[in-house]
Amino acid sequence: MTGPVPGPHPEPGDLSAFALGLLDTGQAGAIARHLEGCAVCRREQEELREMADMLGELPPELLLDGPPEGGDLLLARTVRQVRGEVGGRRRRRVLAVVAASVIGIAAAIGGGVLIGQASRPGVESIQAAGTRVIDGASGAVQMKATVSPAADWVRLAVTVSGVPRGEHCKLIVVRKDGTREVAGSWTVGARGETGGVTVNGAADVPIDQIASVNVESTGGKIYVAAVT
Amino acid sequence: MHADEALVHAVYQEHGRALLAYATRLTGDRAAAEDVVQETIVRAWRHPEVLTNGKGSTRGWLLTVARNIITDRVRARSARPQEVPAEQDGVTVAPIERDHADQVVASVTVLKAMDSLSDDHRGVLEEIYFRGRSLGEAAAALGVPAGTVKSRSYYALRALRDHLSETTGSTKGVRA
Repeated sequence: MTGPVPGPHPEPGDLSAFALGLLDTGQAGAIARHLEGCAVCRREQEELREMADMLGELPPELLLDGPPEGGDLLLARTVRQVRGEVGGRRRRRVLAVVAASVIGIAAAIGGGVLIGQASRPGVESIQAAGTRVIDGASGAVQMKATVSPAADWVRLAVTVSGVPRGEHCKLIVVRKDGTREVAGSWTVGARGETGGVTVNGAADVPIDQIASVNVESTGGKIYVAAVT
Repeated sequence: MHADEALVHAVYQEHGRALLAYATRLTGDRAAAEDVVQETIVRAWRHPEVLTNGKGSTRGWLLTVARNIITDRVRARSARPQEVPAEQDGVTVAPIERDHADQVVASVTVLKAMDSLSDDHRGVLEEIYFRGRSLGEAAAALGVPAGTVKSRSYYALRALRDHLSETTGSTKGVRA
């Protein structure tokens, strides 16, 4: 240190607060004046500032903790994909065959019985823009349907809870003209009743032609409907 | 719960929010971002060894994977434009800035370095930096005097710097 140092050295915490821009104008001015005449503190401050700048470049969302909001379906899909890989039951998607009116794809989380082909939904391709989420509730039965448009058809990911265990269910897409497509079927397991089951399917219905997505028993009883 | 499921739940509960927010910003599309996060968590499940590191290191790994998935998909889509009708998988992906790869390296390094901080020190930086709190607000949120916030911020920045100079030799390479 050579030459007169203007005033006592600031506390380390004040240097740091200065580097982080936390001080009010008066305090910051005093530190700045000291730094002009004190090479030691200036170097220290520059190092602190460098770290502060690095932190400032970190995208703030990377410091968020916890689960995402409204991510239940995402979690269910991820768990199902892992289960599928654990069981070594990876099945090819058959969605190219959209000429068929029905592509029954049902995968039951929570131990339901699989009917038709299970698939790893939405993994191979990015979900289309224009995805809609529609909800339905009827008594204890609740559903949330995520409907993604494809060329002239839709992919569906539907979470259903409250349907009694053992019940055979069908996922039905009802067109505005009243005609219906079966998009999947499954049997409700113990955990499907309470915790909910996520069913994936596809239907040969343009998204703007959908009147509702229903969960029905094989006997035709409508458990719940999500109306667009 | 099965161990595989427990692992998925744990990653989702701890990192899901950060990952989804990050992927949503990069893709500009929540549905596409959810796909990316799903695939990212599945890859973590395939490589459980990465989860044994500190939280920041784990998050840095997840962030890198998510970013790679996004860039792979953007590349795949532009390489095969004729394969599907334009609307079929027509997701809007916000252009990723050219220097984004460097940014990711820097972010991963900082996240990793934050593992070296004590909870008190990291807490101060989180309040100030990532919640944008003033000195007084941070002090109130943490229940400590403002002077303590200042001194903790000092030791936190010093510890970060020490950690980074140890691991990289110089901070220059880190900032890329």
